[in-house]
Amino acid sequence: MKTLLWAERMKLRRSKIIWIALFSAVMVSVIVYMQGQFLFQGHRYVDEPGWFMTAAQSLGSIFVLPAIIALMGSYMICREEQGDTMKSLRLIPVKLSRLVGAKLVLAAFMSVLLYAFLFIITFSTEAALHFSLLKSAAVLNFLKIYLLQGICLFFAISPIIAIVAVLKKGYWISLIFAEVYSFAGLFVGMQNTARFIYPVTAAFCVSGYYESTLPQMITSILSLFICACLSLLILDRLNRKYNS
Amino acid sequence: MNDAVIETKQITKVYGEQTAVNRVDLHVRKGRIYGLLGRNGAGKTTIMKMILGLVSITSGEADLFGKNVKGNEKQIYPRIGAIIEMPGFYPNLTGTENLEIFAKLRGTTKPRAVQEALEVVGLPYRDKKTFSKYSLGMKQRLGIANAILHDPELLILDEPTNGLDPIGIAEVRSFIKDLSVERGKTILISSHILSEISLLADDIGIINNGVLLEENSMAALKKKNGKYILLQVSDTAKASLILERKFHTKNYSVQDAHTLHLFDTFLDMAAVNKALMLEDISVISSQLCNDTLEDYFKRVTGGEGIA
Repeated sequence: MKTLLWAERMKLRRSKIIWIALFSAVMVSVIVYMQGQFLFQGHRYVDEPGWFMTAAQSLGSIFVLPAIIALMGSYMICREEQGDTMKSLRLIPVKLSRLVGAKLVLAAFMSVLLYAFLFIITFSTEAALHFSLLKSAAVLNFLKIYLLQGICLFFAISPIIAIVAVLKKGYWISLIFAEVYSFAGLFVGMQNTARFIYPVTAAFCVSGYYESTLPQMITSILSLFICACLSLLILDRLNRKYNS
Repeated sequence: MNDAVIETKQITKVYGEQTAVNRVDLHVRKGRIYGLLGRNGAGKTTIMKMILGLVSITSGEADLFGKNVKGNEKQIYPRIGAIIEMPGFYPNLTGTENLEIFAKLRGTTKPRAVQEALEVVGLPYRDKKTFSKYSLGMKQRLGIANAILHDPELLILDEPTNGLDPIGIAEVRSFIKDLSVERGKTILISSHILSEISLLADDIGIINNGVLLEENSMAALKKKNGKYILLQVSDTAKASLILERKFHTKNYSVQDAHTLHLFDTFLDMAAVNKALMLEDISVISSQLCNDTLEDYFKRVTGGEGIA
């Protein structure tokens, strides 16, 4: 597995997908910052400590980052088939289940890194705007929310990555699926019970963005666990198809 | 054959209603270069894919090193290097980086394996050019480098000179020959170019429309062709006895009851005709023929020939 992870990391060198992911995080920050220029009771939103970090994380997690995470994951899986490298890997031999496993682990790691990058941007901006008003406990709480959101959102998105890998229609399709899936979270998030069940919003609950009771937290963890199991089941089907 | 590295038994591949490969028996012997010759779409790639276990076999069996690939991949694949169709690599990586990935996944322990493989095919080591910017010929060379990276015993090369310029073709041909002669590698190579196969192969299989029409050694095929006297006589059995008795030659082949090929072209044709007629054998015709391998392949493939 260590070798496969090394190989997967190597394969991403000079890859445009990394730049797309970084660009999307920057764009989320820029758009939210611009949004923060609006006035509320005579003050700009962005001048309120913590507002920028909260808004960037929530809006990014609904509108942009799920699609980017899905794109990264499905790109890593689909490129082997599209670039015709799969037959060379088969002749090594590399087991598809282990190969996909390594890709998913790396995609999860990249999802966390993407959120960490977004955190660095938002924290730096907040620090530049009002460093003295920031409290270390609040900043650390935001860091926890960002990192957990990264991993939880990956689990929520993983069935889309798996479905796109099975469909073999090209990895760009995952962008559309994930966008629809996460956008629906905007409406589900308004409903008290459903938001702890729907995977995209369940990620908000587990990360600590939503205040939740223990049963609600367990429901959300269970929802994300089911997502992970579902993706593994779908990928197992792909593995069987491939082996036969 | 005991020394067969690859042996297929009546392998057949059916796609829907189309039979791509039909009951092919292939025998690739250790240390030899086997040329699989056929037109585009004849079934060469499908045969190679079936041998390697990349596509399922509809019926029949394919053994590598005496074992079926299915279930023995871990033992068999490290002993094989292969290029099937166009080699696939990661476009955002350089040739060296691509090979480093495959070397590490294969568990290649030799420290200079990548560098040596690139040197063999004439590609630069640690070059900055990414695979996406490679020419067709460079891609093909990198594919060959990947196939020989782990020093395999058997090479399966599907049209390895595709896209190469004439000098590149000659170079590839030369190192394939070296791999077989100097390092004792067994090589199965496919091509639709007759001259390429005839210059390289020790054994040859001619495939057309998914059927293996002939499998023979190149030496035997060459002997079958070239210059010969075509004799059409009333009785070839009697005629061959006379040739042996009076002209002390066994260098002929009986084609059918009335046709005989006499390969000792230095013999006096008038004397041969006279000797046959004296023994009451009617000579319908006798002529000097000069068949090339291409003529032969045309004949074998039903007149279609091979490029």
